[in-house]
Amino acid sequence: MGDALLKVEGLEVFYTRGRQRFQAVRDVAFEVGAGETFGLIGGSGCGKSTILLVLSGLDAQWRGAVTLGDQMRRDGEKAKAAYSSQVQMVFQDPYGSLHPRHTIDRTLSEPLKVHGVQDVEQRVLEVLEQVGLDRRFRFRYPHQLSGGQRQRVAIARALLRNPKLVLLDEPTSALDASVQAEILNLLLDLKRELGTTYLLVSHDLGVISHMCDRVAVMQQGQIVETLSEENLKQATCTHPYTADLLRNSLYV
Amino acid sequence: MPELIVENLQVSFPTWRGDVTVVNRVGFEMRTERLGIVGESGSGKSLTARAILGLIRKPGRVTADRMTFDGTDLAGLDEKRWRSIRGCRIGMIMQDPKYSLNPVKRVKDQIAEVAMLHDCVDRKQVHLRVLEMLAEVGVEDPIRVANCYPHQLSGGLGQRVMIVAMLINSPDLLIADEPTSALDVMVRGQVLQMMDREIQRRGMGLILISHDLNTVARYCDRVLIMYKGRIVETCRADRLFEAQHPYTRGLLACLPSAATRGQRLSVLDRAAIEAEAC
Amino acid sequence: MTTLRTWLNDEAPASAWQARCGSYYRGLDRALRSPMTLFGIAAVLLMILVAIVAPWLAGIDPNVQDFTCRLSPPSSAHWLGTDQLGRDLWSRLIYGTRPTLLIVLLVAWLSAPMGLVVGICAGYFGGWINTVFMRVTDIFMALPRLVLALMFVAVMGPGIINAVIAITVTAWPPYARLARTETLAIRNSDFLHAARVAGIPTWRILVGQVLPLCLPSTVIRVTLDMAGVILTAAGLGFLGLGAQPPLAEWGAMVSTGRLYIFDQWWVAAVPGAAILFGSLAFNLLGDGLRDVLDPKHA
Repeated sequence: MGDALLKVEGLEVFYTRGRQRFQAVRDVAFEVGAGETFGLIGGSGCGKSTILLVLSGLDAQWRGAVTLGDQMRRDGEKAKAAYSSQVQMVFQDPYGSLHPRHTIDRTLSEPLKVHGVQDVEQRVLEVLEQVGLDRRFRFRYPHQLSGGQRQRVAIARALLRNPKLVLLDEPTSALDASVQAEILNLLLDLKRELGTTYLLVSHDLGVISHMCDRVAVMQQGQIVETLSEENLKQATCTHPYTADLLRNSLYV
Repeated sequence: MPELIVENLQVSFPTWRGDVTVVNRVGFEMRTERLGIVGESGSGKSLTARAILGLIRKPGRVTADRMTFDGTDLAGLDEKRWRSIRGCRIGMIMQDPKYSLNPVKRVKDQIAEVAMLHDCVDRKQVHLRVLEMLAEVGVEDPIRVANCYPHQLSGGLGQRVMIVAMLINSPDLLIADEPTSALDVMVRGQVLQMMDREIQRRGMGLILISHDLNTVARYCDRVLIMYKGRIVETCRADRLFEAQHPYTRGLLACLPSAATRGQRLSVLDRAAIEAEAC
Repeated sequence: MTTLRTWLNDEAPASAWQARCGSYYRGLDRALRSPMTLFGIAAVLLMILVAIVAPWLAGIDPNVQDFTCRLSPPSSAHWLGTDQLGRDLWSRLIYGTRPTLLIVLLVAWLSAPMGLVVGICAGYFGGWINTVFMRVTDIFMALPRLVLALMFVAVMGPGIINAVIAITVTAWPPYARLARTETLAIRNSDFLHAARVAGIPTWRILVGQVLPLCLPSTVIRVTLDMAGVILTAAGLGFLGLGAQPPLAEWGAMVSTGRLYIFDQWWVAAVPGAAILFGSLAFNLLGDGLRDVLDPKHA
């Protein structure tokens, strides 16, 4: 674990629905070291996915400061190219994160073409190999792939430009147990090979305990507690909400 | 609870490559007990439940040596007789309440409809009963919830509403097909506990279908493990973690937890399982 | 031939070009398996062919008037009879494919893209763009076609091209509405988010990702509308705004034939049947096209 790759300070995110203003994230601050796997866990509506939207540059209405490497963004500032090239995201639903009418090759080569990468074909074949997909999947459509294979493609897409930080939004919750195991193994292998930093959001304590070095527990838009490796192993905590969460998760 | 007997159930669908059998020689018997069916997606567990309730339409084909509930043969029933069984003697709740509830009707009207289909009771009485039952399943503000439309309810509330709708006619058997997969982890435990409590209180049987071994181990008495349409193992829920079949052992071994931190998880060796299963 | 088919059906295509050819081949194969689609394709091709070889197929000049045999029923001299000016209906039918097809295809070509652009932008960007675009759409939808056509004629003079413009201007709003609905449905999809995170510019997302998903319903709608376009053109022709006499155009032929429908029914029935045939052909073609465009129907 090196110095902080990602620093989030005083993050507040709000949504307006009609005339009502709803605060999804309140005053959240945390740091993620280079090479670390940091987890975010909490019930639905706690704001964990919203944080990912802000970090990936998709969400606009926020206040606070986000520093990634040497790039800083403040108060809803749009992400510049130098920022975006360092962070990528893997989405939850393997059935929804690939365009149904594009072949895998198109899905993977388009980002490369847009950024003027030279040998597109070679890079596409490289990432397919890295995620364990045979090259005959290259020209298939998403509906011809299984859930696990689609998620591998999503991971391949995230790796295309060698990002330093990969955001994982419940990457295995839509998958069967054995397929989940394969994907988690893949993520671990890639981390060892490439040294990527992961920010993993999940509601599954088993996945979090298996993958993460540290976990922030969120409730109603705030971080109530951060658990260390020891805490996860011993299932100890201080905040009552965390205790509730641990109790409800049948893995304890 | 009257006995449900299933013997040699087969469900197949015709495809351009020939018939595909998705449920293969499944058989079990149950009375007042909580039976869990566990398997991955594609193992045929949901289709087994739907076959029992006669919900598989053409071109799917259902055959069984025997499929009886309380002596009534389920295989040859016509729609009229099915109506006296579905919702009345056997209830079913499915994964996502957003899709099982009619979006343009208020909750109380939907539940009342189910009640009145089977028991021509006065509407006011039925509404009172609905409010009573909503309170029983742990809804804090039954009047407000009863007047809501389904999209105004959270996942947990939606499933409670579904459970009320299915329990209002006091059926003998409840089939729950992944009832908590779409729910938040905090709510999951609450809904399962509530369901368990109601079932035990009413002396009903339960068939709980899930891909989650832990859920099934905790809320069932007996577990059937299905793989590619067949039952590969049957065991008592409290002995689930001592299961013998390579598939079950494989499923148990591939679960991530704090104990497996930093290690590669074992993955199912499907070749070995196929060899053993066939 | 077998090597070509093997190349097209290759499970692991070596290049994007091979994959695309294979995909179109399979799409075409699927479309051709349906008898309805086959009929549609054949009928449309037939119409186009007839339009091209009209002079040779018709035999008689469509504009030659012969008052001695006006309103005569089908006979060996005039296969489909004659109209009120003694012109041969078979010949007018054949020559009529030209202006009719021209109007229909031009209107489709112009109105669908216009509607798609407006609808997709309104749906994707939302906010004031959506409000402005949709109100403009509403205004155009409220304009009665014939009144607008009259305006055009007053300004620009009668003729087919002006009729096409007049019809286009009132035909695009439904496509905008349709495109907007489809765009709204997919706007929050993960694959669009993923494209943005991957750094793909907005225009490329709209053209490469949103547009292909709006196309199937638009194609169906266009083909459904074609019959209506022919009849609108007929109405305009009737008012002297579209096809000018003596041009043989099916819609105009139906309009003038109405006067004789009780006793000399063939004068209106012949072009009417042709319009029916043409609309059916386009509808079936549209259905088949939708299947070709959707890889999931494999």
